[in-house]
Amino acid sequence: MTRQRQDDGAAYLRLLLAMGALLAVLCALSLLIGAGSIGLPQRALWLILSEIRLPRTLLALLIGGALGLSGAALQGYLRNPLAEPGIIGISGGAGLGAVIAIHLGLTQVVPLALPLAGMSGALVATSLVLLLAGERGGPLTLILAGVAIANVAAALISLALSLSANPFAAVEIVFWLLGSLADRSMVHVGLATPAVVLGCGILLRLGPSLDALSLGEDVAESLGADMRRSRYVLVVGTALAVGAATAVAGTIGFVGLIVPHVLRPLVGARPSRLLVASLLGGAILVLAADIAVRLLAPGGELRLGVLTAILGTPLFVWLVVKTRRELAP
Amino acid sequence: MKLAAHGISVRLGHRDVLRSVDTVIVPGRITGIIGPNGAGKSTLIRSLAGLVPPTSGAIDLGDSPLTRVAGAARGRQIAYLAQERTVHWALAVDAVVALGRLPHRGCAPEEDRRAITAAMTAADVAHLAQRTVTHLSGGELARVLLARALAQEAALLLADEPSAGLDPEHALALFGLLQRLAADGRGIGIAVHDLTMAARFCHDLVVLCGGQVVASGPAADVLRGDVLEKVFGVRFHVGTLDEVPIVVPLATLR
Repeated sequence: MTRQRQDDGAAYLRLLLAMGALLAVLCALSLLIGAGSIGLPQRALWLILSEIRLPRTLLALLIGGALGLSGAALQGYLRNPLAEPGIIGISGGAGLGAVIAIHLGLTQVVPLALPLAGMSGALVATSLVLLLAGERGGPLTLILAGVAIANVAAALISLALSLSANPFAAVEIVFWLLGSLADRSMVHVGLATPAVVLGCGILLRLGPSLDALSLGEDVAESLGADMRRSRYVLVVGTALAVGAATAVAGTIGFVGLIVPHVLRPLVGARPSRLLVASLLGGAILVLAADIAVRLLAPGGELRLGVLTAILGTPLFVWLVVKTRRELAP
Repeated sequence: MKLAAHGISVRLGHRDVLRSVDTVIVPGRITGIIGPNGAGKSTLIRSLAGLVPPTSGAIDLGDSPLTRVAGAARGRQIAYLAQERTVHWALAVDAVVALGRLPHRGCAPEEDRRAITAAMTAADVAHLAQRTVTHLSGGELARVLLARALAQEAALLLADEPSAGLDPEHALALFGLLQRLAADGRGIGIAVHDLTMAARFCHDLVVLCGGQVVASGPAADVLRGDVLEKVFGVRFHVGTLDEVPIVVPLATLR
């Protein structure tokens, strides 16, 4: 048994190494692939690489990692494989903040109004969710509060759309909501990096508490996990990571849901190991999807968020079929 | 290490679940908490485990108030086994047992491995180590969760109906194990429904009814027909068979 335990740990390390290697390959591809590589002078190529492809690659890593990790953390805390960052209202809040900025025309006047408004929206939504969910009260109150906030945000986004006097603003809102990494600069990277890195760092600390929670809240408390603190850590970490990610890239669905789901059997279903694996897995998925977007539609008419949803759905259907087969007598 | 509740009351919502209850869990002894459904047995166990702070009264762990012993430090002293046997993810058995080592984070890996192996052997689940918990039978799962609590190597074990749903063989094995743990010097507190098992294996009994202690003391003194009749509303046969005490419900009185 002792040997088996060590093997178990070795298999986990091998998985992380393989994912890291895949990520490195995808990074290289992401830097090399794109329109206009042939016949350009050296300097122009370098400019494309550093000003266009590098920020795009870095953002894909940051955003994918944030979405994958926060999805794994939320699923672990809520002990529900269907949880994803959207469920506690944070992506909704970030989206609403950005939409308000577009609606009011702030994006035309103030540079970076969009990501800044998105982050503020995430912050407001987080405070409201925590306030509504109350001091004590378990995962259920958090879901209820989150769903309430997410619904209000969705309703207000629709309102902003229908009130939009300027059709260009409406189009901008819709396109922004679809999620994309196109036309982002190193300024966006600089804006998102601190919040995403801090948020991810906070979420990674949840590992032992999430492991303990596999046995229910009472037993987790008896094993020394502080449930109240865990909830704050979870919500604040998700708000920072996903709030900043949504603020610079719009809403990118399915990543936070599908990545932990696919990786769970590979880490022996351990919530703490799933955190690290999903961080890498999310980055892999978003980076691969962004490369695919550029290859399939160099003109930019295919949005990243649309592609992740299109890719995510068959994967999800496959999971449903697999689960059904396992449950069948 | 002694765990003592002094006149604790617990109010949950608008209901007084416990009313000035005194209990002591002592090293080397098994204390059984008996009483009808809704008497407050689970709440008492959870309070003693530090999971439900009493509205009034105090619980002392050794010489210090239980409220002062936080998180992992409490986890190294008190192991708690819940009544619901839920494991939320499809974890391997040895991974579940290893969760009992969480309060000991930072201790040497060999020490963890030794404790896990010992706990799995004691609970007779070593052969299940690589199985997935979702594929176990109810009795196997109960023993795996017991192994998790044993891996904690705490001086005190609090278990909420650990024998519920076990077949007679495994129930007897479980109580035999609890007896050995007590003989090793651990203090054990359990909520029990099976009065024959309580009569046979518990050293002391606390009888709860409506959140109050109706009787307490050595098992033989507490398990009397008149006490049980009053508390359960059932007429009992209390006797011995082959020198084993038995308590058999005969007929409802109400």
